[in-house]
Amino acid sequence: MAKHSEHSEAVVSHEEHHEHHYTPTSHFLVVFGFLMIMLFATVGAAFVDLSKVVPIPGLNIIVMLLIATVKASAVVLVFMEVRKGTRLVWMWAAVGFVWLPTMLGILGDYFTRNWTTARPW
Amino acid sequence: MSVETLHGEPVQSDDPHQAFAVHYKERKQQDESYIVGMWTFLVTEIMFFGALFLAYIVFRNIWPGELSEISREHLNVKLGFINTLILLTSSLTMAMAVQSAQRKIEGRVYFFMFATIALALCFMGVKFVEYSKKYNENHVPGPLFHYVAEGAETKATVAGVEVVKTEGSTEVAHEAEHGRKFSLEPVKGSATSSAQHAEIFFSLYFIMTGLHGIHVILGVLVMLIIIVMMWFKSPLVADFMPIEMTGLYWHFVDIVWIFLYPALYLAHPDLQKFLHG
Repeated sequence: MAKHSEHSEAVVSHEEHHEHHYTPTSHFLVVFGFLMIMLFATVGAAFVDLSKVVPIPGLNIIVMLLIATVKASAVVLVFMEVRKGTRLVWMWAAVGFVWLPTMLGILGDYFTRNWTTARPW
Repeated sequence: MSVETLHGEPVQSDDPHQAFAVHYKERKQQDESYIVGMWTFLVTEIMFFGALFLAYIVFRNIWPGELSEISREHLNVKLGFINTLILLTSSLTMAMAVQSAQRKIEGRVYFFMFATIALALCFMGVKFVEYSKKYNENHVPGPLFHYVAEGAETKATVAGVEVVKTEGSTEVAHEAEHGRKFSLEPVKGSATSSAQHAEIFFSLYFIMTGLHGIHVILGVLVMLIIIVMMWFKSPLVADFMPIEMTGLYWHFVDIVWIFLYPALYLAHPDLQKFLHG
């Protein structure tokens, strides 16, 4: 048993030299600044009629949602620390964004249905 | 003090940041299990909110002009902007709380957790202002729902008396508040259909933001529980992992709002309304 204790202490003191690697505050502040800029970009994209520049209907909402995706990616990678995650963590973080378009694609079938007017309350 | 595992590694340590349970090979594996488990839950949440976004996309696609008009008329872009600002800041404070926990600076953990809770409560306060306005305008879907598109004239039957009303009249809403039965029929245009479409819009608005609000409240409760457990020196929160898991959840709640804001509020905004309303 004494042998085990020694072994344990050795491991602990060894581990102490390898403290948990935390993300420096400066990284969080940079990402926060980026998110703020992107927030203003989102509102800006809402007020400028982009379809006048490039004739694509609904371009504004597409641009706004693309900016939202960039913002979400920044949060996932740095705030949620996926950037430093293991491969398994990377995979799990990614599958959400694979399954979601899959579901949207499959259930997008609703677009092709005939609609009847529902009775109100 | 240690117990030997199958792999011959210690499971207990005086440092809670190094200890791990008997069925793990090493501390790193335990951390990974926590994070992957949390992400699995978050993926189900992505699908959960994703279905609602799909419903919104479908209805926006069916009545594009009408729904964006309702959004422009009745959602306050400015309040949405303030709430986005609050929630993004709360993500920063949460990330700092997790970092402080990893660095074992307890005082800072308390500070950043309380800051996150305060910001969450500010968010809910703004939400309360928005919801109460919609409640007062009878825009909550249900038997008392009342919506007349701007300029549309309707013939309202209030307690058996037939009157013709235009938008802006408060009498119908007043009667509705007092629980009397009333019905609205269109005189011209498509007031009924636009009222139905508005009800669908507000249903989606309340379900999506309401569900998000419930997530915010649950996040606050989890943070309060962790703070109380930390205060009483519970061994369950001696490790930084519970705080890191809370952080993952909180950032997810933030991400949902990042998408809700442009989808609901900025669909077709009015610059004048943003600046002055």
